[in-house]
Amino acid sequence: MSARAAAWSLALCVWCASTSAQAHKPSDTYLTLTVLAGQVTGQWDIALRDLDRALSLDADGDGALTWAELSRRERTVTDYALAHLALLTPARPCKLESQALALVEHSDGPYARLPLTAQCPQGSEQLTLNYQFLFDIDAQHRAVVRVVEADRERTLLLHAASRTLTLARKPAGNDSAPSMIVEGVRHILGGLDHVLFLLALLLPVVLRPELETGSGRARIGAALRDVFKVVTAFTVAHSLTLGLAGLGIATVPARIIEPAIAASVAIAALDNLWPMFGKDRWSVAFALGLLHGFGFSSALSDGGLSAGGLLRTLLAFNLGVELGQLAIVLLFVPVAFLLRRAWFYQFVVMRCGSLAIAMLSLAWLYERIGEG
Amino acid sequence: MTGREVDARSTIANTRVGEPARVGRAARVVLIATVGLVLTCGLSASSARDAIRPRHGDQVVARVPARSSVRVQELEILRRAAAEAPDDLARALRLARAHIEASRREGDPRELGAAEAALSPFARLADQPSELRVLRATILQARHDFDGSLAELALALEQTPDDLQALLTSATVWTVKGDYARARTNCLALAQLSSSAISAACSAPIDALTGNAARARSLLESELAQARAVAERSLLLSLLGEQTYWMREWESAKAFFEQAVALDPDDRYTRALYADLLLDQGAAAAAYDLVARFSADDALSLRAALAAKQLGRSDAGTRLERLQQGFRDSRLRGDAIHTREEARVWLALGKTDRALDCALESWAVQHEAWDARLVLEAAEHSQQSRVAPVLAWLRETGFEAPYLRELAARLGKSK
Repeated sequence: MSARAAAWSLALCVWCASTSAQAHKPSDTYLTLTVLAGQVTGQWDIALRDLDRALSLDADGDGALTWAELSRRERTVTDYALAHLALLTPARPCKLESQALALVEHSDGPYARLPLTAQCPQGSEQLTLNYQFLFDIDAQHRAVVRVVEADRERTLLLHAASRTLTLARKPAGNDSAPSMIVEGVRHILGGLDHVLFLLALLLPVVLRPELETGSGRARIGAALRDVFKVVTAFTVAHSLTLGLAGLGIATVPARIIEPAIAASVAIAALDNLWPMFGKDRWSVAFALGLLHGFGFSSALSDGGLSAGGLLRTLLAFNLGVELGQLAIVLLFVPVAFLLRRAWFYQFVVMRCGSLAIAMLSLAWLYERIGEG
Repeated sequence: MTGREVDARSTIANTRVGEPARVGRAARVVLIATVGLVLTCGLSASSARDAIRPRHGDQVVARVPARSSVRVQELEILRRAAAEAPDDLARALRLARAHIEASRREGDPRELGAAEAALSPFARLADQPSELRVLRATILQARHDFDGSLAELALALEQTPDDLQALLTSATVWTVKGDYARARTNCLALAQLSSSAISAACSAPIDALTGNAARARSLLESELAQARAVAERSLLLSLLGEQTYWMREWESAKAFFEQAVALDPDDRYTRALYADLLLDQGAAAAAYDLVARFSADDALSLRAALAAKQLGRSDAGTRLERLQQGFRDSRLRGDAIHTREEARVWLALGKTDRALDCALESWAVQHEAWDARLVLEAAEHSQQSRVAPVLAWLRETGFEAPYLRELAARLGKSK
């Protein structure tokens, strides 16, 4: 190519490059890490295009990477990736492991999702992430790192000139279980839709006619029995689906669950005003409770807990949810029982309250359907 | 019990015994069935964000550059050569140049990252040859780091004042930044060293922007009459198309663009401009046909999405949403180089406030006709007064584009 022609071809490049945005997308990986006292878990999304650049995965070179070609070299892929990622403590490095990868879509195409678990030595508060992936092949490669720590969540960028990140870990001696229990409590108390659902179920319980007959103890017993049935049904249902979702056995997308939960609150509240379901509402509590369990589990997955199955974490979280629920019940039911004959309770709390809950939850329903 | 303490529900329960129980049971059954249905739908709903392991080995999971293609093989040869001799700057330069060429051809920014990686071992060389600096400047410019690019070019020109590529790139970037005096200086230096066609390609755009559109036009046309090489001709045709486009001389522009795209179908930049022309004329179907198959290219898929919207196609919404997801990912990684495209999408969606924000963001970095136009269009609908810099630019440059002048006049009147 003569110098002149070379200048022309570059001239074309020069004029076009200044104005139009580039096509495709530059190289990024998406790394999520959840740092709890006990261990670090996460996932790493790496573009198949980048893995092919590094490892020539397209064995027959025809430009179409098949699942067979990829899975045949899955071990190589995982080893290569982990060789370029390190989690360090002042003492020694954590042991990083991955399990079977899966495929996921991002805006520029398919990525391999590598689940990550790290075994870190106890007693170290400071973790350093050392990221060395792909810079030797692509100097503009970036890692979008989302770090979920005990008290905060942040998103940071790593690039060729900045390859390390410091993560904070809660001091050793703290088991992860207590923190997950707290998380569970936080999620039910902070989840207004769950709280209102429970209250909507409980509001009419103390108004059952059985509570007016018999001795004081029998009345309390009757009340407790009803509360117990409803709350237990709700508990069993949401624990079941929370477990299924938390262990990755069954999941429902948030865009379906969130409106469904809002609808469940509305149904429970409206049933207080216009009774449809009869006296024994425990089956209603159970059916709708199934939905709420999936709602709780999205809190877990947002925190980056993978389907790798931290059963202990799950149980602790669920325990937290039940404790929070118990708190609500213990606070509400005795007061409601004592006030049950007052006009204030029957009209204002029960009827207006149910109406307010219904309207609020219908508003949520409208909002959440819009987002889906 | 007093009347007040009787719950309405217990009244019903006492008067009609069998029926409400049946109704209640039926309602419960319906509820349970509904919940079951919702959960079944939910469980089977596969979200695109769910990670899956395919079942069949011959399922294609990704499209990658085919190693069977000649160009990819050439790159591989150069890459291996550079890897064998890591201290050999010449090999690294050849590799980087090939990657830059690939990025232009495919519209793939990963190739720019690869080019930069090829050059990075030499970043700390005490003695940086101007060739190295010029390639680095090209990469920086493509990522919209115009100041970084100019810095490298200044150093390159210090060493070799007659570097054709450095002068040309420098002129381009100064023009983008709106410093026409410096751009002209580069073009004058160029004129002494290169053919009249290159010199015209350098100076004509500056002339067009600074109120000398007629001179620019005649210069380019006379060069076109003499030009023989395909690369020369397609460049001149593209420039002529662009100028006549801004002057709203539709027929001439269309003719120029048609010829340019026919000569060089891989020239995505010209194709995008041609699509803009067709969109402005309301020929959305023609615009769509021109760009629809280039779905991997951001610039062209933008025009395809806009054409789809104009045509009222059912996939318009999905196309625009996909573009916006790409913009979000770009910002997530810390880039802000798609602000012009973002502004155009917001305008197409009727969100003029956000369009104006993006257009002004783009204007802060580059002063091109399209950026000026987007600022004025977004401001016209949202009645804002942040357009002062663009109005000043129009006044100072004397840019004759009729549409921009109209917009400016209208905005001026409404203040």
